[in-house]
Amino acid sequence: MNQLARSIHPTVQEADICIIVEGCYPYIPGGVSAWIDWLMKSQPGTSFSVVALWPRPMKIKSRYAPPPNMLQLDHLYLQQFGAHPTTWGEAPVGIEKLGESFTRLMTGGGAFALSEVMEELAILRRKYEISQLFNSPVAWQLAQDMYRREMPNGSFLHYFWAWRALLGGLLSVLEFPLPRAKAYHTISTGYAGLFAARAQIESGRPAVLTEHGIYTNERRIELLMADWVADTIDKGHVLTDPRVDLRDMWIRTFEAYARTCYETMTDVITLYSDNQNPQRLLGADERKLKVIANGIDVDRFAKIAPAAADARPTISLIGRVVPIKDVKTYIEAARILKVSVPDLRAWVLGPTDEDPEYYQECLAIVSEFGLEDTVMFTGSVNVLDYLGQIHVMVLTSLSESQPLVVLEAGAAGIPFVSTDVGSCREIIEGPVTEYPRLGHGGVVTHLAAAEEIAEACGRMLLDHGLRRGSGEALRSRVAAHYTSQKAANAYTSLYAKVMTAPAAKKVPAMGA
Amino acid sequence: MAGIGFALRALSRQETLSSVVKAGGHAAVIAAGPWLFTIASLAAITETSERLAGFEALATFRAVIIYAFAASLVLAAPVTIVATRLLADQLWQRQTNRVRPLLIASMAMAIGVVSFGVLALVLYFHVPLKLAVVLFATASIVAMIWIAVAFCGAVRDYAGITLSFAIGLIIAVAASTSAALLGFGAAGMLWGFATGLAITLLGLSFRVLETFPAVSSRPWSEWETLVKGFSQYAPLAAGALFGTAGVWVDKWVFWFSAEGQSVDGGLIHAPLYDSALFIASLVIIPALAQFVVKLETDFFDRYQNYYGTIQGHGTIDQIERSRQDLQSNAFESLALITVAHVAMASVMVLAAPAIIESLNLQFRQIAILRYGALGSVFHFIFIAATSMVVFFDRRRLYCALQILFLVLNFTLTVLTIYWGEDFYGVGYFTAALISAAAALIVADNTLARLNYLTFIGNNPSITGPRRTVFDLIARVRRLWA
Repeated sequence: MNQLARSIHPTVQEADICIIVEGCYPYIPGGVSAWIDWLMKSQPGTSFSVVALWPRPMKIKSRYAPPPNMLQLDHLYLQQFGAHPTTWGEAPVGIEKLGESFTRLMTGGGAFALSEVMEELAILRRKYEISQLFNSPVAWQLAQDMYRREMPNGSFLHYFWAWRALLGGLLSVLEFPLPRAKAYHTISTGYAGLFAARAQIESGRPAVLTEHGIYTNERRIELLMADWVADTIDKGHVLTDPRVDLRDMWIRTFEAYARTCYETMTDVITLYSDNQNPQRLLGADERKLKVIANGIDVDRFAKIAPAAADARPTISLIGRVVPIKDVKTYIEAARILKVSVPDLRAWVLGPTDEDPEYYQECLAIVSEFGLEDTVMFTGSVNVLDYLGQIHVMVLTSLSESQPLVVLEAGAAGIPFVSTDVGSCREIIEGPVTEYPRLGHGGVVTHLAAAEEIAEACGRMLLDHGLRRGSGEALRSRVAAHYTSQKAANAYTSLYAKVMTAPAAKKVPAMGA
Repeated sequence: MAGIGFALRALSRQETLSSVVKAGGHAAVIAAGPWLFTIASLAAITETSERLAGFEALATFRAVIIYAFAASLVLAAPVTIVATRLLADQLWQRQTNRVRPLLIASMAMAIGVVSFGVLALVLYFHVPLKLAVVLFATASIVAMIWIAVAFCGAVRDYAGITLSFAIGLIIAVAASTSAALLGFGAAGMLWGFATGLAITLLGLSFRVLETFPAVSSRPWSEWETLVKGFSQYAPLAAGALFGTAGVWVDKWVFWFSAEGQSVDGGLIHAPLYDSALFIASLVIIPALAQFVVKLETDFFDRYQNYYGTIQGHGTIDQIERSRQDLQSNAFESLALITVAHVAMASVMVLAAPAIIESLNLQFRQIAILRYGALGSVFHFIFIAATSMVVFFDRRRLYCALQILFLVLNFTLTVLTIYWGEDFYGVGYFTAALISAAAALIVADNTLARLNYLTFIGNNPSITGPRRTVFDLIARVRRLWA
């Protein structure tokens, strides 16, 4: 298995920290990738290796130049597993036990369930190539056993493909050669978190988790919206139907993996305290929970002078033109605001090519309202060139974790109007523990509330004193709590702690 | 969202099971029917013309017909089976406008390979030009007939097949007999027979063209598809080649033994063995016909039901029930037909002396006829079981079984000649017996493990395209380059 990965990326030397990341770095630019790039650069004295998890090999270019302290980049392809010719073989004795262990891991999760699966695979591995087993009658027996236990009333065809995807992913995570490191750092739960849990159990070295968004929640939303997962059991409106369907199975599996991850990590970190609740719900130990907020380089923005009071009144949304940013509500707010601020300029700074259909819909709304001279899409731009002309920043997102754009606006002294998502309230209004109170740096609104947003922007645009005061409050808060130096220091001490921690008891079967 | 992870959809491949309801295994069976039809008409001509044309001319006539059929059957078989499979793919994709070009390409290729075979025969046996021309014509017509039959069979136009053969062969018998009557000799009779076959070919082609009226502006557009089809379905093509060779190899062994006799045209045959075996093989006709009917009705219904249960989101228990239903039905049908076949073969065994006498054959052919009749029972089981193996797309095993029969039939027939006349026919009988047992085991294994094979073992979207001999050749070539 994974011979490809083994031969292309031999584990050359032990890194201090092995970062495990799913589906972004270094190919998809954006929040988490940029954060990883920043993290490695902010710890020049620490060496890193990165394991990037992907469904299958891709033909796109890396978007981040590897920093000098990054020793190697390994690719773990979840979908590669089992792309082998069939081998014959009857199910070995004790295969039922392996199926039970898999079921336990995929339904309940937990460190014990994972180490049990790892031990049984280690025994099998002495006789068989696991990847070949995956296409053998042994796997077929497993699929049936697990189906009977998990969703005996559902479509077997659908179960089978989901089972292959889930188990294939699990096995590729467990079979991938483990890069040696003094400690492991995963950037999400899911498969990356599972890999970190395995690394912890197999190597005995500590592992930590920094969760940006809550992975299981994002997966749940994705699955609820997914039309490719067929509902094969008509549950009607009965919420207590005990029969398990495919969505349930996927969600349950990711929750089980998250539980396994939380249990094995020594530190479970989020960007803001609201996100700790879902972690608690999935069993994360209170003593492990920690917040390390994202920071920015305040100095880069400090030089920007606030937009002049007599300049054209300008609000701006910085972000990709995609449904989750709810750009349509932003346009609607601009339409309402234009009544009281006739020469309003409303920018949308950010790439428009990610969801062309949505972008076209936005353009259609703009022309329908006759807002061509008001709402302007700039595409990808350097935000620094625009901040000096913006009076009020706006975020209409339906979901965020800790958006950097709020911090950047704050560092430039621009007040912010944002929907109540992620850590926006914490940044704009200040955490409840803040002392002395620095005051509001803007307004927090409901989701998709165009009138509320328009009203808040109007107040900020027309009341110069309020605008300057809010901008300064936000600037002070960002300088106090959200500098990248503060975040970097937090990780420096975290790494120092875990790298020097004594090794936990190793599972002996795994090294073989 | 934080931009982490990737679309789950990319992870969950929702693919179909591609082996669903494709080429029918009945193609393997259908090829046998017309050949037996032809034996019947040969027998009829023998009856009508012996006194008219004389023994020697008749022997030449029969030998040329047999050579034409043997060459075209064996050499055109790979083309036929690959074309059948490609046609099934085309019909599956509803690309009926590609049917006519495929027919043209297949017929052209069949004529091509058969020409080489005929040329080799003519050069080896020093066949005189007069006979060589008619041998070439007959072999080409027959090769095209096999292609046309496969096309008709793929759309289940059995009435068309039967009608074309009936009319063609009546004309063939009438024309050859007339030629004999008019004293045109062997060559004249052969042209008469070829005329009848040509009528059959026209009838079959007409049915195909009528069924697929779409005209293509590029009649040769499917040539490349066909050539590629050989690499795609290499085990199937090889299986067909070995399979038809297996049916003939015992005769060839006899032709080249001391029993072989030369006819006027230089060709050799072994009437002692051939005629007895040809008559014996007639008893297989009703069994094959019944089998095709069963395959088309009961079996095919259950086959569709099985895949329907899977695609219709059945539970594993429902899928398993349809599988059991399919398996038990398949073997019950096979058992029922075999019992009837055994009864008919027994009648032939018991009535062998009478049959021999009525056909003016030699008494020492009685034992050969009996072994042939008994062997046909197992030969039928072999054909039926291997066609089930093809039905479920286990092409390599199909090919392996055909090789087994070919090797056994050759080796054991050689041995029987070495052992002496008492053992003539035992080789074919034993080869059929062992091969039938092997084919039954494979068919049983296929049906018993069908769930596994459908989902994993034989599912191309999991195991990927299989390596073929052509890939191997390409790899070797790359090594040299």
